[in-house]
Amino acid sequence: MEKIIIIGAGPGGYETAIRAAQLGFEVTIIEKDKLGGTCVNNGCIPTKTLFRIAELYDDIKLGSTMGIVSKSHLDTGMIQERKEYVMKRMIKGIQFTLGSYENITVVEGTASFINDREVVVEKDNQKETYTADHIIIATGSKSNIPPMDGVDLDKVLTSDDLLKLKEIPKSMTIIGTGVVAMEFASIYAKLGCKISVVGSELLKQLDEETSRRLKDYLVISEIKFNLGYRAKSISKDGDDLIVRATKDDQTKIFKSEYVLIATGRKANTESLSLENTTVEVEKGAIKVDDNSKTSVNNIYAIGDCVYKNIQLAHVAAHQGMYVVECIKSGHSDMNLKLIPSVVFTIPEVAMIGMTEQQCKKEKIAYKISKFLYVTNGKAVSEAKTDGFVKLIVDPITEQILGCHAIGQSADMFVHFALIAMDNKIKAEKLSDIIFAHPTLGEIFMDAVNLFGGKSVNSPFITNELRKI
Amino acid sequence: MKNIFTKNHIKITMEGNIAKLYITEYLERNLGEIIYLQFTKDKKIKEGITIVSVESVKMSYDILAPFDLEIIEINQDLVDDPGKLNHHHSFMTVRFETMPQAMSEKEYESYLRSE
Repeated sequence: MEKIIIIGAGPGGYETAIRAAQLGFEVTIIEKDKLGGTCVNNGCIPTKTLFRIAELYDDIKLGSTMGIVSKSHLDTGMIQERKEYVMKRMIKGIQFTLGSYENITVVEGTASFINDREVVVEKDNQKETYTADHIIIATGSKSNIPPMDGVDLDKVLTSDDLLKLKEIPKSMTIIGTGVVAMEFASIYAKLGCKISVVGSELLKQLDEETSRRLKDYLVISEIKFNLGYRAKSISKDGDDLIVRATKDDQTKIFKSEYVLIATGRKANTESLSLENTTVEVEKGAIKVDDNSKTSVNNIYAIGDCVYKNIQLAHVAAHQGMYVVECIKSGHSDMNLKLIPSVVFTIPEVAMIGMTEQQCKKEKIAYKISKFLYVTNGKAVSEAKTDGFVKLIVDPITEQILGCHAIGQSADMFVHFALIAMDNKIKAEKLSDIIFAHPTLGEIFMDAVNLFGGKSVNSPFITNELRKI
Repeated sequence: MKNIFTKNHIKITMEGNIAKLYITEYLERNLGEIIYLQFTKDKKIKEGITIVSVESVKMSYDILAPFDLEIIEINQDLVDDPGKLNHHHSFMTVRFETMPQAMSEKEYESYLRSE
C-alpha cells in the first residue's frame, strides 16, 4: 500500500485524507492544533454560526411587521456557548469520519521537514519521524497583520480574536474590505455595533453591479464606508482607539471601542522547515504547478498555503482530492476551473464564473438578464425581497458565462448555474424544465426565461437590449 | 426647448447641446413603483450603454444612453427617493455633440400603438 502524509487537518487536509483512504492509500494526517483547521475553529463555521444569530436577531425585529410581538436581547455568553457547541460538533464529526477508515492515522504535533522525503513530528518534546511515498502540505493560512503602529494595542483584534470576544463591541473600525471584513461588518452591524469600514475597493472580485448593490444594502444597515482610505496607524484615546487613515492628501480619524484588522491572510509555512527541502517558496507561500505539485516530485501543496491560490475551503479540499486521484490513476475527472464563492454578508452574495467587467475587459460578447427577489412570491411572503439573480450568457453558444446573486439563499442560484455550466447546458434549455412554486428557485427560472422573452412574471415593455 | 422621444422610452428635453433625460409616461406606468436606481460611474457614455439600472417592484430595467453623451449631473434626489422617477422627474442632465435622432411626441405615440 502506497503511503501518503498530509500535513494539516483543515478542510483541505482531512477531506483529502478521506479520499486518499477511499482510494486505498495508507494515510497519516498530522495536525498541530485542532481538527478542522481555520474553517471549523476560526473561520467558516463559527462565522456562519454568528451570521445565523445576527440574521435571526434581525428577523425577530422584522417579526413586529408580521404580528409577532416580542422583546429580545442578546446574551453574549450564550452566543459563545452556541458557537462552541457547533464547533465541537463539527470536530466530533471529522474525528468520527477519519476514525472510520482503518487506513487513516491521525497524529497530533507539529510537522517539519527533515528532507524531501522525511517529516519529523514534535509534541511535548517527543519527536517521531515519518516517511511516505507522497507528502501533501495543507497547512492553510492565518491573519496577515500589516506593519503599522498600534497593531499590538489591546482591543485591536484579528478575526480569530473577535470570534472569541465575549461582548458585542459598541463600535468597531474595520480595516479591510475583503470577505472577512465584510462578513464581520455585516454580522456585528446587525448585532448593534456601530461599524466604520476603512479600505480600498469593496469585495473587488465581485461583479461590480453586485458589489455596488451590496454596499447600498450595507449602508442601510448603518455601516459607514470610507473607501479609498488606507489605515496608517492605531493609537489609544482614553478607553477608545483611534485609526488614522489617509486618501491622497486627506487624513481621517476614526474613533471606536475596537479595531478589527482584516487585511488578508498569509500562508502558514513557518513551522514546516521548508529550507530543509528543495520546495520553492515565494513570500512565504508554496509555489505549485497546475496539478498542485511543488518543485519536488513527491511533495504537493493545496489550499491557502499555496502561492496566489484562491483562499477558499472548498478549493483546498478539491485540489487535495484531485491530487490523490491523479497519484492513484494518473488523471482526475474533477473540474477545478469552476469555483463558486459565497460571501455571508446580510444579505449574502454568491458568484460563479465571469463578471460583467471581466467580459468587457476581455472583449467577450455577452448578454445579461437580471431578475429581482421583490417580484417573487416566496420572497415577498418571507419579507426577504432584497436582491437579484443576474445571469451572463454567451450570445452565440447560449451557455452561462457567469451567475451573480445577492439575497436570501443566494448560494443556491450559483449552484444551479454551476451544474448548467459544467454540463454546457444552454440557458434557454433551462426554460424547458419545471421549477416548483412558490420557491426562491423561480427567480433563477425567471432570469433564464427573460432571455427568450418568456418570463410570465414581468410586465411587457417594448425595448431594445443592453449593448455590449 | 424641444422634446423628443426614443424607442427605449426616454423623453429628451434639449436646449442647445444640453439635454435633460426623463423616462416617458409609458415607462413610468409600466415599470411599476421604482424602488432602486444604480447610476453609471462613467462620465462619457456611448449610445446603447446602460446609464441607469432601475429596480421596480415588478422588474429590473436598464435605461440605455439614447446617444453618445457626457453626464453633467445626476439627479441625487432620485438616489434617496427612487419613486420620484415614476413622477416626471429628470434623472440626468447630459451634454451631446451630435444632435440626437429621435421621434416627435406624435411619432412616439404612434410607435407605441404599432408595438
